[in-house]
This record gives sequence, C-alpha cells and structure tokens, in this order.
Amino acid sequence: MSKVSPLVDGLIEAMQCLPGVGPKSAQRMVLHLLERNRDGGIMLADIMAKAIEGVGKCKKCRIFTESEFCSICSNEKRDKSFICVVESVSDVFAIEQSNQFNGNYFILHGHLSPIDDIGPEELALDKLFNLAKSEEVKELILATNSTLEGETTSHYIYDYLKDLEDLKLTKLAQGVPLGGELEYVDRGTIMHAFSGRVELKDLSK
Amino acid sequence: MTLVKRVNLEPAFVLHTRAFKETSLLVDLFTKNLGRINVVAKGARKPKSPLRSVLTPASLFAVSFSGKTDLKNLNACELLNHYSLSMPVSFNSIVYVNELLIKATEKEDPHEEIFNQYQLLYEGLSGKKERNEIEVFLRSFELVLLQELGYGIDLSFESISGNKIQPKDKYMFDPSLGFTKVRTDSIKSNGIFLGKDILNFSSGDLTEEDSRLASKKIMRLALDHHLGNKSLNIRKYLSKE
Ligand SMILES: [Zn+2]
Repeated sequence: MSKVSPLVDGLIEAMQCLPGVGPKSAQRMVLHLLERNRDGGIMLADIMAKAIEGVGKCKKCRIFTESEFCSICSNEKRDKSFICVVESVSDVFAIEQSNQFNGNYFILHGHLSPIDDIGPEELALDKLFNLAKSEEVKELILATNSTLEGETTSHYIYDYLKDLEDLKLTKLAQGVPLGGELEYVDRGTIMHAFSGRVELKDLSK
Repeated sequence: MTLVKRVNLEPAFVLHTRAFKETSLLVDLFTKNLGRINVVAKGARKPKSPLRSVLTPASLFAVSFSGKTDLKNLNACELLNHYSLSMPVSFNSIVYVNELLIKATEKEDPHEEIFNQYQLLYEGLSGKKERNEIEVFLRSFELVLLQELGYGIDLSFESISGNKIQPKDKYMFDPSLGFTKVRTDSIKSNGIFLGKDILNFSSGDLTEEDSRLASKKIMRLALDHHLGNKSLNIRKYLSKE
C-alpha cells in the first residue's frame, strides 16, 4: 500500500471500516475524492459527521432517525393498527419497496440468541409488548427471518401476547417464490411449503 | 484435536449460526460421528449461495467440510430432513438444548449417542404436542447427555444402600451422589423428592404435574452442578417456563 502522507494513509485506512471495502478499493476511493471530487468529499464528511452524531432510534418503532419519532410513525396516512415486527432496518426497506404495507413497524435490531447472550432486553421487547397492548394496535405481523433464531423470537413474542384479547397475531406466509419453478426451489422451502399448504377453497374466499 | 482433513456427507444439525464478515456465516455443527465442529460457510449470506440452505431451521443436513485447523470450511450442505415445529415451547426447547450442547460438550469430541437422542428430540417435538409429551423428550435428552458425559443418574435405586426407590418414601438428591432416603416427614424442599415422582420420571410418565416439576428440578440440579459456572443464558429469559 501507499505510504504517502499520514492524512492520505489514515483516510485510506479509515475507509476500510465500510463493508466490502478492502485496501485496494479504499485507495481507489480516496484518490478519486482527492483528484476529482473534493466538493463531494467535503459534503460526505459533513453529512456523515452529522448523521453519526444526530441519528438515534425512533421512540416508537426503533428505526434510525434524528427526530423523536420517525417519518413512518408520524405519517398520519399510515394505519397505526398494524405493526410489522422485523429484525433489521433493511427488512423495512425491502417491505417499503414492495408498496404492499401501509402500517407501522417495530425493529428488533437482532433476534433472540442465548448463546450470544442476546435476550428480550437487547431487543427492547418490553417496548414492543407495551405497544401491542395499546388500544390502537389491532394486528401484529411477525416478520422475523425464517431461521431458528428468527422463528424462536417470533414464537417468544407470540407466547407472551397470545392471550391478549382483540389483538390479532399473524406471520408472513412462506412457500414457493413467485415465478419460481419448483425444480429450482431448495428442498427446505419445498418441505416447508408442503407442510403449510392451503386449501384452494380458502384462497377463493 | 484437529485430525479432520476432509469429511463428506456427514449427518449434522446446526446448533448456532453467526454472521461473519460481509457475506459469510460461522456455523456450529453437531455431527453424528465427529461431535461439534465449527465451520465457516463462505458467501452463505448471499441470496443465491448454495450454502444458504444451512440457515434452514430445524433440519438434518448432510455436510461436507475440510480443513486442518479448528475452523473448517463448509464445502457443501444438503438438506436431508426438515422437522415442522409449531409450538413456541418446541422452539424454546431446541434453543435451550443447543445452548446446553455448546456449553456441555467439547469441540470435536464424538458423541454418537447424544446425536441420536438429539434426533429423537426433533422427531418428538415435530407436530402438535402436549406440553408433558415435549417435556418427556427433553428430560430423556438431558438424561442421555449426562450419562454420555459420565454423570449418569440412577432413577431406580438409592446410591449408597442400593435399595430400590419406593413410591411413598422421600429421597434427597445430591448431583454427585444420587438419591438417598430421608425421613418421610421431611418437608418438601429443593433437593427432596417423593419416590413416586422419581419412578415416574424413570418410566417416562410425566402426566402428573408433580412428577413433571420434580423431573425438571432433578435435571436442573444435576446440570447446574456438572456445568459448573457455565450457566445457561436462556434460563434468564425463560424463567416463567
Ligand atoms: Zn418510528
């Protein structure tokens, strides 16, 4: 690697804190900024410092925001009676892109994992349980990942809230992906889709 | 012990996965013939990776891995069977047993009998089950685990006198010793159990609430004793269980 100046070397090294950025690409980025886009670099440094400093978690759903409540929670047009529980903010982005859901979210920022000592407290489940008990919430959609830890987390939440009257607890359907040819679907998904098959009569209602 | 160089199509369950670097996973496998093996599944978090199936929960796999160090490379992972768990208590049980296995067994220490019992546990937990049925499978797993680690417990005879345990008598349980008869008017306390409950546990009949709770306490005392200070995190948040 280079050994040009403490600042240039330091910047190249600092860039490597980004996922997927190794020494080579860090060097390319730094040279690009210094040679061709100093304005862009100043903007980047400025907004990055502001974001890291100012962004916290929404008091209601725990998505990243610099305000007390995020723009989803404070959007009057969204239906507050639906709460979709997800493991990470990237799940929210994926669901938002589908334009399919107009409710609110709750982000766990992880899943239960006793081996890593991640329990209900780390996931702020108390906060979720209180939210679920509020009158305006009618349905909790458990959309954690379909891994052992993800499923365990959903079942834990379900177990805690199942006796609550007037609260519907649902989970996302799982099965053969749309446009997927059965031949190319992995065995786990096929087995799961078989055990969760639905009667056509119910679908046409 | 790091003798393994290349292993093909070994039956295995996944005890734990953890994100590793950008797109990979660290996986704690429980194999039939080689015990617990740590592997890295390179690229397994990419959407189209063939190793991604290692994330399928509650499944038996045929795994192929290689490497000379502690951390091996997962080369292939084929799904052999997927168990359909439906009850919250089934998921909790698996997560509990997984943590137990990781804390109670050493890496690369073969435990075929525990593996077989683990598979039986999955089969037992599949489908809708009554709570006491699930607990029978859990308790037998714990018994076999202790047995295989050299801490077997005799549920039919007293340890010192060798007398048969009688339904109406009361017994004190010492994890390092076993059961010893105490005066029948002894008050029920943490380490004292009724013969009937011990015998029910021995025959795998946990339909009575008292026997169910007693068997759980006996196992808890034994596991806590033998695990030493490696306490199980899951107990912190399943305390209502
Ligand atoms: Zn919010």
